[in-house]
Amino acid sequence: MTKSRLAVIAFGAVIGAALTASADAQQRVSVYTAHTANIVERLIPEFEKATGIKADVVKAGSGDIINRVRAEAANPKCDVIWSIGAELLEANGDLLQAYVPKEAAMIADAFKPTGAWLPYTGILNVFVVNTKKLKPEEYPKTWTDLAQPRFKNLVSMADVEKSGSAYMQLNTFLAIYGDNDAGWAKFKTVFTNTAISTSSGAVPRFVNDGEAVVGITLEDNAYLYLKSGGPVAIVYPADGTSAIADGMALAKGAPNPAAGKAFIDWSLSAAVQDLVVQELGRRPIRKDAKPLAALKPMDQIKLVKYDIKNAADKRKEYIDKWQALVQSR
Amino acid sequence: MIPRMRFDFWTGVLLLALAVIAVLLVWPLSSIMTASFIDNRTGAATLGNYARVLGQPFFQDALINSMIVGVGGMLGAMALGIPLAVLTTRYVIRGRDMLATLAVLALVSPPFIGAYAWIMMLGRNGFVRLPLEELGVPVPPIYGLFGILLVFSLKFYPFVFLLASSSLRTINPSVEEAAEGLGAGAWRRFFKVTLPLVFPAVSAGALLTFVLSIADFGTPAIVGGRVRVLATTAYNLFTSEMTGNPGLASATSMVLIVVSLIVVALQRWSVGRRNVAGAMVRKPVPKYLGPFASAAAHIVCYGIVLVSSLPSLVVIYTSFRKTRGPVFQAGFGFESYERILREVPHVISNSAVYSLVSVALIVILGTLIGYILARRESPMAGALDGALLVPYIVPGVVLGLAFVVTFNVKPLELTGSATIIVLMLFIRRLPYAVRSSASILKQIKGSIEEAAISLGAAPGRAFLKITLPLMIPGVVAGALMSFITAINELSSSLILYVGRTMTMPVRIYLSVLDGEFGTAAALSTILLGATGLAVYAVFWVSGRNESAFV
Repeated sequence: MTKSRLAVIAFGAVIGAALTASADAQQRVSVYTAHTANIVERLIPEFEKATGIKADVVKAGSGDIINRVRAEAANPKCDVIWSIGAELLEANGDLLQAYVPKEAAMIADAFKPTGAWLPYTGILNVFVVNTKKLKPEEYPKTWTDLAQPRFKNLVSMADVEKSGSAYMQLNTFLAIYGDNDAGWAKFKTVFTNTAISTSSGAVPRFVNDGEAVVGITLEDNAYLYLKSGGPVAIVYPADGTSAIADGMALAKGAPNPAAGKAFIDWSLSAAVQDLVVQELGRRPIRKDAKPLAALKPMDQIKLVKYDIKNAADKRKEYIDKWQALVQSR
Repeated sequence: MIPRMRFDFWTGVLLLALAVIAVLLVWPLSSIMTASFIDNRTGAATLGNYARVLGQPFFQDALINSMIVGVGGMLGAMALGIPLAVLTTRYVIRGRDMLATLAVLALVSPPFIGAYAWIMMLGRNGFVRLPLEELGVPVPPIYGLFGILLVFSLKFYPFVFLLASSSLRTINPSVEEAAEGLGAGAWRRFFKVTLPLVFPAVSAGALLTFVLSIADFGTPAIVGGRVRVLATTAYNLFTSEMTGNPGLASATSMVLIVVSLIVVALQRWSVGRRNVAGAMVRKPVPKYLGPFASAAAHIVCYGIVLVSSLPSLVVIYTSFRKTRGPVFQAGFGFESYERILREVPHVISNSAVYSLVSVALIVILGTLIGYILARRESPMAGALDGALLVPYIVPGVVLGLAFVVTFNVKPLELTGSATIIVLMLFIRRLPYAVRSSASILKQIKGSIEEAAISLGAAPGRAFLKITLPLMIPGVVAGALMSFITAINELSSSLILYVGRTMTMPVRIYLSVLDGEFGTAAALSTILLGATGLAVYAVFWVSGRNESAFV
């Protein structure tokens, strides 16, 4: 091998090493979130631009986030828990510290904070269907329609243990059909038809690609594919669905409490709330926010009462039953 | 004469190397071992974690599945690799070099990329499945064991192919001719003479594929569906354990290590029994086949290599498809690349920086340790040699867990930093550099360096001025290989990353989970490009030696 070749390689290595990240003394905030990556990457630059604070984001399922915060409790690393299932925040209040945001008065009455956590956006559980595989009259209308044999292995749903929204969907089902043996037996008939996906964000992907025909997912996940021109439609279950807040909170012992509070205030600001509603398809929680015209108005959707407290208290029992279902097949 | 401890440059290097091993291997692995014997809630010593994992049906399933994917991946790799090796070394196959290059590319591209490319091809709505089904060809579902075994076989066969072909090329043909002369038919000759001669090489390749198959996390996580293996189970247990002590994940990890150890021991034992020395008298010359046999041989060879290259082609194609949000549109465009550059440019620079820094460390220490192992035999050097086998056996998920358990508290609090990822890449790949530098040194005569020392040069200076320049081509090839594996590392980085230290493989994995195939494909293409360049550079410095990759 000639010396010149070596020189080329050595030069390349030096250039590469010169890319080394520069150390910066900037103000930082550490955010743990269940938002999908595309939302994180849409919103975080806005936050950094607006506040000058650098955000370090850890992305995982809601359940994993709480586990991680709990595991780190002796030596907290997280400042803000952002966009995770409200019942998880309700159930793990000991990991949070209360904070009254600057614009607390602007939060709509239906979403008034009840514990140490704060509402971030309104979310709604829906079915997403593939319009190439199903004609409108073939869409499932109700939760129990999903148990029909024609949907065998064609219903996509996320893992209840990992995904906050899938846990909400299970609770919604039980709220309609009873939190008792009969309700669970009915749920099992739906469960038998499902293919469990790793994350709730992937559910509309499978439906869009025809890997599944129906998905149980959050309205905004489905809306992302709808607005991008994918062959999907949103179905609001006629037997009812749940609309609740997904939450955020300041973590107890947050290493950067001031930056964490700034992050929460930013999340509740009119501009950000307008963005998450108009662009991402979330439901508004501010009194002054306009709903998104492309989505069905809330007053035309049948809602069931969703008991966050109950969902929080029953989590262990429900997860155990879910695991038993998963292992039984 | 009383033996005297002489402290020179090399003693210093030896002590440094032992210190590095102690901090980055012995300590983390003993922490995870300790964690596996501690009760999560009470903190008391217990065997309960083992009782719980070994008693759980889902754990037993994971153990059985790991064995199935290990053995299945190994057999699949042999079924593809051995015929390819035999045909390309024994018979004239046009474009042999190109086939070998494509096989090397399939080998070094990350397995999780193959996994999701196969979903796009053979998923329920896959563009390969639909035409096949219209022709009436039954295709098993990609999610599950079929998918895992398909990805592993096509990913790992080049190990068997490369090791077997270099071994086949060194067999003295007179041995086979003697068998022929004694009346053995072609098949009998192959099984009774040729196969035993290449057995050590083939079994080394097979062992490697078994250990890599049971250690792989990305493939079963993406195409496994309901099939869980030990590596994914350990990861899932870790992410869902409610307390600070990941006892169950640690116990699972220990089982995974023990399985790997047993396999490695078995392979060493069986090779030791059949050590066949082949004297190099003359090289076998590839024969011409008749027209029909030749056509069949070409179809087999090209078929294997092209199918194994398909995932990369699909990924590159997908990355240039026009997208709107997550939905693919008709036509081509650069939206996926634009999104990456706009949203996650740091992921690309992180991958580049972490791999380059760790490779720099690997090259420096690996070269020096290689020298000690080759030239300075001592009990301590022997211990070092033994300790360096450990990273071959310990899967990335396990070492990642061990790092988290060890380095999340003082005195060495590193979790969340870039340092911990660099150190992980460093220790995982150090043994490869040590091995390559030791093997080069065995080809360089020690007498030149001794002459320099006897002329008055200090040992360190003699090494730098005389031996090192002779070693450089081998060291550069080793460094490029370390770079290829470091930049493609997923499992341990997935456990150690935070947002700021995210690398390309981690981002690809997360994108696939979220169903963001466009950005995943664009990042994968960048990763494949970097890997391909490094492969090209290896060929450039080592003069087209494919066996540099195993």
